[in-house]
Parts: sequence; structure tokens; C-alpha cells
Amino acid sequence: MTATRNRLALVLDRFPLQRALNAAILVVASLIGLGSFFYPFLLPQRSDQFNAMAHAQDAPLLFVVLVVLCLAAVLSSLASGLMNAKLIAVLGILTAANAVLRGVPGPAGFTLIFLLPIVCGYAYGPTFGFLLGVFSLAVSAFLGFGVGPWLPYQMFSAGWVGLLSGCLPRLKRHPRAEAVMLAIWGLLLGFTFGVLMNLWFWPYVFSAGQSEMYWEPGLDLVSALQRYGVFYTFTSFWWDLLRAAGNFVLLLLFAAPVLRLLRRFQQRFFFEVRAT
Amino acid sequence: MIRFEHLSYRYPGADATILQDLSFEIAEGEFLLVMGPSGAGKSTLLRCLNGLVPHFYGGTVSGEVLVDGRDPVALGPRGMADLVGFVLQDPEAQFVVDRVEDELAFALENQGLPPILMRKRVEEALDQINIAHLRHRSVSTLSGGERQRVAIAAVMTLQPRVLVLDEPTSQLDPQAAEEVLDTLVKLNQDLGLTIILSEHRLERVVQYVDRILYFSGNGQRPILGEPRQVLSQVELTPPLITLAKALDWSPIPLTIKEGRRFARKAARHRPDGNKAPEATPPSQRRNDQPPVSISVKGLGFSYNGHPALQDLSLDVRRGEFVALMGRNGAGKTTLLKQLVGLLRPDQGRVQIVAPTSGAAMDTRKASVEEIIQYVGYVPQNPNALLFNDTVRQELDFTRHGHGLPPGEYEGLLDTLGLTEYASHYPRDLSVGERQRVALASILVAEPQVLLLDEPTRGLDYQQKASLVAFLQRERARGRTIIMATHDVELVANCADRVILLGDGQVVVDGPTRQVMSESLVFASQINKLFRDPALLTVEDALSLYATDAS
Amino acid sequence: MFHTLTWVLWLVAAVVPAFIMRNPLYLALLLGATWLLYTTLGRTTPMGSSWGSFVKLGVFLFALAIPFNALSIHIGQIVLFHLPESWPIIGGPITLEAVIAGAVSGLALLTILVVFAAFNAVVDHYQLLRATPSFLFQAGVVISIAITFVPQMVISAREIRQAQRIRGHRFRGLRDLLPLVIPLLANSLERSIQLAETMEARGFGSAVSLPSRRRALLSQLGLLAALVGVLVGLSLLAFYPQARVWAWLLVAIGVIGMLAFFAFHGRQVKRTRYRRQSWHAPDTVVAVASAISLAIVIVVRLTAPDTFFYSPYPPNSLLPAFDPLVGVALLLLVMPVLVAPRGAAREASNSEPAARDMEHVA
Repeated sequence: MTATRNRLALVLDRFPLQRALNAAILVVASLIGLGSFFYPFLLPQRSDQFNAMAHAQDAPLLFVVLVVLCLAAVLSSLASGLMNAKLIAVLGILTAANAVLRGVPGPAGFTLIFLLPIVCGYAYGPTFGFLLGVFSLAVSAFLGFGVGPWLPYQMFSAGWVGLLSGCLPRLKRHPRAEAVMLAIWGLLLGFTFGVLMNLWFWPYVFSAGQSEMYWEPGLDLVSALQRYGVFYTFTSFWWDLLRAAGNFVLLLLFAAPVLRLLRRFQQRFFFEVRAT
Repeated sequence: MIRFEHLSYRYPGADATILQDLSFEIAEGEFLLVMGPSGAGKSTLLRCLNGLVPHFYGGTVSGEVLVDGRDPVALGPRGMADLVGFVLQDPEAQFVVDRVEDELAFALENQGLPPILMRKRVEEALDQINIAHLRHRSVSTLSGGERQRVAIAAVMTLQPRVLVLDEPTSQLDPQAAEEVLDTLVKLNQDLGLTIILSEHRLERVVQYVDRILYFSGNGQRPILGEPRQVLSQVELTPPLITLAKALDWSPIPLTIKEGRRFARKAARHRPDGNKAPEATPPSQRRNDQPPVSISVKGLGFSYNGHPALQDLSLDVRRGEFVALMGRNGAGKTTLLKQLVGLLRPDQGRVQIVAPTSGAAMDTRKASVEEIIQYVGYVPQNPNALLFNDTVRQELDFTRHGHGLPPGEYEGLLDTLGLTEYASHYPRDLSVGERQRVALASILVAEPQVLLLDEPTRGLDYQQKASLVAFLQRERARGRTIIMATHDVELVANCADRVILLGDGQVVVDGPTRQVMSESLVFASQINKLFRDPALLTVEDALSLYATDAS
Repeated sequence: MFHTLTWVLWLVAAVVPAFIMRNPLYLALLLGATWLLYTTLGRTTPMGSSWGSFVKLGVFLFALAIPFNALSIHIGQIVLFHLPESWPIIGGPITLEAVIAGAVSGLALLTILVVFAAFNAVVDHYQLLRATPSFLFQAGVVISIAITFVPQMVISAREIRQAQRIRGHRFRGLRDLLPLVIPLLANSLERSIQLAETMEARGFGSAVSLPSRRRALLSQLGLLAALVGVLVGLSLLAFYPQARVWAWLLVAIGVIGMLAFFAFHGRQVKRTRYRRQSWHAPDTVVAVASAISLAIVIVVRLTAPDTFFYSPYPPNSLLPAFDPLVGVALLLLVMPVLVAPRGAAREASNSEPAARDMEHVA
């Protein structure tokens, strides 16, 4: 019996069709998730205010339920690839490390919690990155930040951070370029995450649905976005700026050594056993 | 019950086989000790028993292993879990769940056993290992010894017939190690469990084992046989056995009790002309005492409301080699951290005297940066230090931190036997080598005082011997060394002075020979054997009793 | 105290009205009930302290919502003052109705947050984790491992910081985090190997029987179809409201499909549970009360939704409606306080892992 070396990619690769299905599931679930963030801008623009208003009020509940279901669906469908003790152990412990890193204090939105999902997603693949992001936030919640109504959204968003990082071009030969690319990426994601998460609170601050004369949720897209822009500037812009800037600097400084560490580790411990 | 037939194994990508053509049998109910230097193949062999090799590590296997008729190579760990239980070295890396009772149930849940049966098995395991009082505890609140016992219990719930343990006590202090080993002895004797144990601390366990499998690691075939027979062929052994071999005592005594008989006889027939080693080393005579390097007065310190150190006073002179001993929790590490300025006194003071100027630095006022110019502290866990890509960079890092220019380090690396590893990735090295790299990383700043915290944890005999040699050389060079340790033999071989801490206070402070001979617990094997303050080490005993002492 | 499932049921019964009601009277009632629950049964543990941050956030957003609404919506009859029309967005009459609308919105959010905060303060997160459903088994194991390892990681982090300090390392800038982060990660990765070994050695993995390839693919296709159904349904609701019925139908079928997938996957996981929590009479009482409360709310929502709806803007009256039935439903949520086992109040939980500092101080 001999063994060969293989990438740390989840065993989904076993069947290409299954891999494609998993990707599709992830995409559709993500679209639903995105829809859950953006629904305030997409509510029907009609004057049948009563029904629409009632729906507008139900929407948050509906979407929370949908997001939870979608998250559970994605996790469950990736599950078969997760029956490898090594993967579970590595994911679990890296999640713990990430939870500890989150505890490193910093001004406002500065946080270390995206460093690992981005770098691990890049080094180990989109699925790993997605799972690391999702689990990091779940564990953080369990350990003191609290299970809030926005948790499934946060988990999904953090998952996307890891997922998309795995889709970045591979620049293994150019470590400097890698670091710069990841740093810029971290900057973008820092802002995007904030913009998205802030959307969760938006419908409450900007009350949905009021009068027969002036239809609020149906407010045309441009004005709605305008208003959101103002809201964002007043609330989380500075928070997100610090987060994004923090990501940028941290990745610029740390991406290279962390990548080296991750790649060394992968080389030593991950392979598949094949019978001769 | 366990049969190896021409088993060979090679790690993936390796040229040489690490196990070569092994054929032997292990009977049911046997207690087998596997010993040998690190890297010789012990861990690999143990993992063959439950299929972790090759399923977990890859590589090429040839030959056959059969455990009670089952083939681990074919079945893999999952298929062997209910027959072979495996316990690892690190007490901090074996738990999936936070509560003890749930951890015990983890293996059972995965087998899909009905809840009633699970309850029964968990209760049994709790009683077998005698940890019922820990059942509701959170794993993170347990001590190392308790954790290892929980790990054993977690494996015992599956009711395996073979228990394999890979250096389970190497990270533990002697007391915890004793608890674990006692548990194993009980399991073997009361339950007839077949136990295969890889262990460095022979003293505790060698009298209970049925056979020893010794991997010499030089490419020679491993030796399997009765304890006394194997130990006579092994180079590095505990002091009692080394002495017995040197003085041709037969049959080789495995315990102090067995040894006493020989010791009495030797005392009666002492060759004339052999002198006892000096009772008081010259450096401790009143007349020419070197200046004080560190002065502690009335030190008091509390941790989370717990008084960790109480009214502690001591002086350490330049060039002294002091051993700090005491139970876990007695305050050894706390004291060391106080001496390097990581912690500041709540009451009293700690003064560091600069060697050249003679100026005294009070740790309450000085910064850590100032203190580390004179005091170097090597923490317990070398893994906390290492992060660079090469050994050389580690040394550069410390120099940079001290504001010193990078140097050549040839001498230092040579002294520590690290020259060939200078460009290696530190974390790829073995435990002993990492310890040395950590040492080098601190010594590179040339501190006058060296503080060591458990330097021999996890080392095998060979590595310990080189460490002892190194420390003796450093002492000869005039470095002041303060070492916190549980290792009595290390203290007997190196230290001039022993300070025993108990509950944060100094209980005893005196020359090694004196303290050791007056203590029941902190005495070396040779000391316990002869009950003579003059005799601490094998060399001492040989100088007195060897028939050809010249 | 109470079984975890009881608390989850309570949470559902409390959260649904919090999400769908905009009637300030009901919201206030719910808020009061939840507050009562927290003060009597909440624990003073690190978990319970998330209460503080949630509530603070809620109050902040509540305070923000009022001016935000008032300044950007200019409908209403009771005008407080005028801002020049030429000013973008905020120009126009500032009305009392808008202020009230903002306050009510903020109140809704605050109520949601308080409900979750109370939940966090009363539930045992550890047991919550243990109750992970079978189809999320692996996720549960990962999270369990993470939670188990965090305390020692914290200790490890401290050790690393001290070890680097005595090498002269000082934290002067972000760059200096590297000697702290790398050892932490390296230690983590090395430990994970041992952990994986011990998991395998204990037979981890035997629990899940992988379905045949065909069945796995089919189930995944089914899930994909369900998700697509939901997505299409939602898109219809957003862009083609005329097809409302079809849209809702699609969403409903999609959700059922997802649940079926969960059931299928759950059956693949053949592990059993070493259950330790027992169900007592008070649990049944609270569960039943929560169920009734939820049922009333749902029925009222479907039959007479007006009462949940509140708008201060004309032509609706400024005064909110009040239906005593809904009031009762909300009061039922106080049941845990009434039937809590004696001495359960403010029990400082000994279930939180306390880092053993002393051990490393010997």
C-alpha cells in the first residue's frame, strides 16, 4: 500500500459533478443571502400599500429564516467532504485561533478576524475559506459576543470573504505581489463587509412603509440608495474604514509569512491513501 | 495477541526505512515498554498498531501486523478503535469537547451505541481511571495529569483490549506522571489489559513491565527482552541502573529497594584509598564569595487574589548554579518571571546587579528592556519563541530586540550542537533541538544571568546528557544560572545550591548535597540508595566504590 | 435551569412578534416581559454580558432612527418646524409623525435585540451546541473543538507575548504583531495533527455512512432545485408582484425541499446522543405557553393583521390599536419567570471554562 500527495482540497473533488453541484448550491444560496441584505431596495413599488406594507414588515423575519436555512443547507451539503478528521481538526483549531485573534483590541472596527479567512481561503481553497469564515463568527458568538439576530448574516458574509479569497489568482511565484494583492483585497472586503452588515439595520432606522400618499419602500432605487449612503456615512463608515485599513496593513505585513506557514503545513500532512 | 511479521515502513519521501523487518510477538496482558532516543522509530511502531501508520501518515508498508487477528493496515484506525486505544503525548491536544463526561462519550457517540449502554460505559471508565470527581469539570480547568487520565478514560470507554501510549508523561511533572503511570499499572494488573507504553522516565515504571523493546536508533535492530537483560545492553539508563552496571551488580536492581541490598554490601567492602567527593564545593566557602548578582527581599506577589509568593528573600551570587524546586504551583515560574521583570512585586523588591558597573536595578522601576540586558529567561515552552524561517534568523531577532548588531554565532551554535541546523526551519526540528534553539536565542544576547524553566521537559536521556554537559560548561565559564525544575537527577548533576519553594515561600535553601540528603522527596536516586550526603551522582558513587577508581 | 429546547421555543415565540409587530404598545409589552425575564433569570456570566452590548447598540440605533426618519421623511400633518426645501433629502417640513415613526422603528429593533440578549443570558451555550441537529453534525464538531481550544489558546497567546518580550520584542507597530501571530498559528497547526490522530484513533468517522454516489447526487440536485425555487419565488415577489401567489408557493415548496434535504442528511449520521439534560414539568409548561403565544400571534397575523400594523402617518390615527388577545399572548412569554425552579435565579454558572492561570505559574 502506498500513499501519494495531494492538495488540501476537500474531498468534494472526488466527483467533478458533485463539486459543480456544491458550487451551484453555494451560489444560489449566496444569491438568496444577498437578496436578504438588499431587499429594502427591492420591495415592490406599488401603491397597494396595505399588503405591501404588511409584507414589508414580515420581510425581516422571512429573510432571517431563509438565511438560516440557506446557511444550514450549504453547511450540510459540504458535510460529506468534511468527514476527514484532519480537516475538522485543522478547521476547529484555526477557528479557535481566529476567535482569539478577534480579541486583540484595536480602534473601532479594526479587527484581526479576516486575516485568517482571507489567507487560508487563498492558500487552501474557497471551501476551506468559506467554512473558516462561517465557523469563526459562530464561535465568536458562542464565546461572548452573543447570538444576535444578525449572526447568520455575519456568518454568511464572513464565509463569502473566505470563499472569494479562494478565487483569487494564484501568484505563488511572486510572494511580494501576493501580499499586495491580498492587502488590496482585504481593503475592499473590509468595506464591503461593513456595507453589507449595515444593511441589516437599515430597515429599522429607515422605517418601512407608512402612508398612502407617499410610498416609502417603493422609493425609487436612487433615492433609497442615497438615503442609505447617508445612513452609512453616519454609522459605520469610520468603523469600516479602520477595518479596511487594518486589513490592508495586516495583510501587507503578514500575508507572506502566514502563507509560508500554511503551505509548509499542507505539504507535511495532507495526502490521500491509495491502495496499490 | 499482537504479531509483527517482517514489518518494514518508510515515510513518504524518505530514503531510508524507519522500521526494518520487524518480527516479534506480544502476548495478551503483557506490559511492554518501548524505549529509545527520539526519532528512532518508537512512535512509528506504536502507530502501526492501530493503523494510524500508514493511513494517517502515508508512506510504504511491507510485511504484516496482526492485532488479535485484525490487520490495522487494512482496517485503518476506524476499524481498530474498539480493539486498540491510543493516547498521545500532548495533554492539551486530545479533547474535542469541553466537558469531561461528554468527552468520554464522544467515542461512543461515534459508534452509535444506545444511550443506556453509553451511560454504563462512561461510568465504568470513570471508575476504572478513578476520575469520577472530575466528571462535570471543564477540560480547560484540569491539570496536565488529570487531562491525560481523562484521555485514557476517553479511550477506555470503547473497551479496547490493547492500550498504546506514546510518551504520555513527557509533558507532565513527576507527580502527575506518577498518577498516570500508576493508573496504567493498575489497568494492567487488575484488568489484564495489554499495555504498550513508550516512555523516557524509566524509574517509575521499569519494575512493573514484563518486557522492554529498545530502539537504539543507530540502524541496529531493536532489542526485545526481559527488563534486566535489555537494560544491561542499553547505554543511557537511570542512575541506579548505570551504577549497577558499572559495579557489576547482578541481577540488576530495578528499584531503590532492590538496590539497597547491593549498596549495603558495597559500603561494607569499600576499596581503600577511594575518597568521598568534597562535601562542600569550594565556591561556597565563606572566604571568597563572589558579589551578589540578584537580591530578593521580602518579595510578595498575588495572582488573581491568590498569594503566589510570600515574603521571599534570597541572594544569588555571581557564578552560582541554583536549582529551584518545588511542587507544581509552589511559585517557581512566578519567581523566575519576577527575576526577569515580566512580573512586578506587590511587596518587597527584586534587585538586579549589573556585573560591570555594580549598579543595582530595582525591577519595580526598571523596564523589561533594561533587565534583559543582564538576565535571560528561557521559558518552559520553546514553541512560544520560534517563528522565523531559519535558526539564524531567530538569533538575529533577539539581537535586534536588544539593539545589538547581528553576529556570526558560530561559537554559540557549535556549543549547542546546532551548526548543521543553522539554516533549518526551527519548527521542523525535534523537541530537544528546539529547546537548544530557544536556549541559543536567549544566550545570543549574552546575559550574565540565565534563568531556565523546566529545561528537560520532553527530552530523552541523550538530549538530557548533552544539556547537562552544556550547563556544566556554562557554569565553568562563570555564568550565573537559576533553574526551575522537577528533574532531581539534573539538579544532582549540575546545581550547587537548591532552593525549595513551598506555597510561595522558601522552605529550604542550601547546598545541593545537604538539601538532597535531608529530603525524602527531592533526593536523587543515588542519594536515596546510599543515604550519604556525599553521594549524589553516579560519579560520586563510583569515585567511592569503584574497584578501579583511577 | 430550563432545557435548552425550552429556551429555543421561547426565543422563537418572542422573536416572531418582535419582528412582525410595529405596534408600539405591543412592543413595549414584549420589551417589558423580556426585561423581567432577564433580571430574574439572567446569569452574570461572560455570555450574559453580551446583554450590555446588545442593549447599548439597540439604544444607539433607537436614538439614531428618530432624527434619521424625521429628517428624511416629510409626510404628516403635525409639523414641528420647516427646513428649507432646497436642502437635499432633509429639506422640507419636519413632522411629529415622522419622529414617532422613527421612534417606533427603533423600538422594534431594540425589542429584537433585547430578546436575543435575554436569550443569551439564560441559555447554556454549551448545551445549545450539544443540541446541534444531526445534519449539521460535522459543523457541530468543528465548533466544539474551537470552543474547547480557545482557553488554552488564550494562555498560549500570553505565553508567547511574554516569551517575545524577554527577547526584547516590543509592540511598537502592527508589524510587531508578527512574532505573536506566527507562533500562535504554528502551535495551532501542530496541535491539530495530534487532535486529528486522537479523533481517528477513537473511530471518528464511523458515524457517518456515505450514501451511494447516486443518492448523494440526487439529494444535492434536490437541494439545488429547492434553492432555485426559493430564489425564483423571491425574485417574483420583488419584480413581478402580480404573480404573488405563485411566488409564495415557490418559496414554500423550496423551503419544504430544504427541510427534506436536512432530514435526508440527518439520517446519514448514525451517531447517538449522550443526552444529559432532562426535561421537567416546568419545561413543559413554558413550552406550551410559548407555543400558545406563537399560535395566537400567527392566527392574529393571518386573520386580523391590522393590529400589528402601526403608522402614525395620516390617514391612520396616532393612537395605536390594542387587542387584549395579543396582549395575553405576549404576557405568556413571562411564564419562565413564574415557573422557574427555586434557586435558579441568578445562578452563577459553573459551566464556563475558566482558564487555569495558576497551573502555568508553578
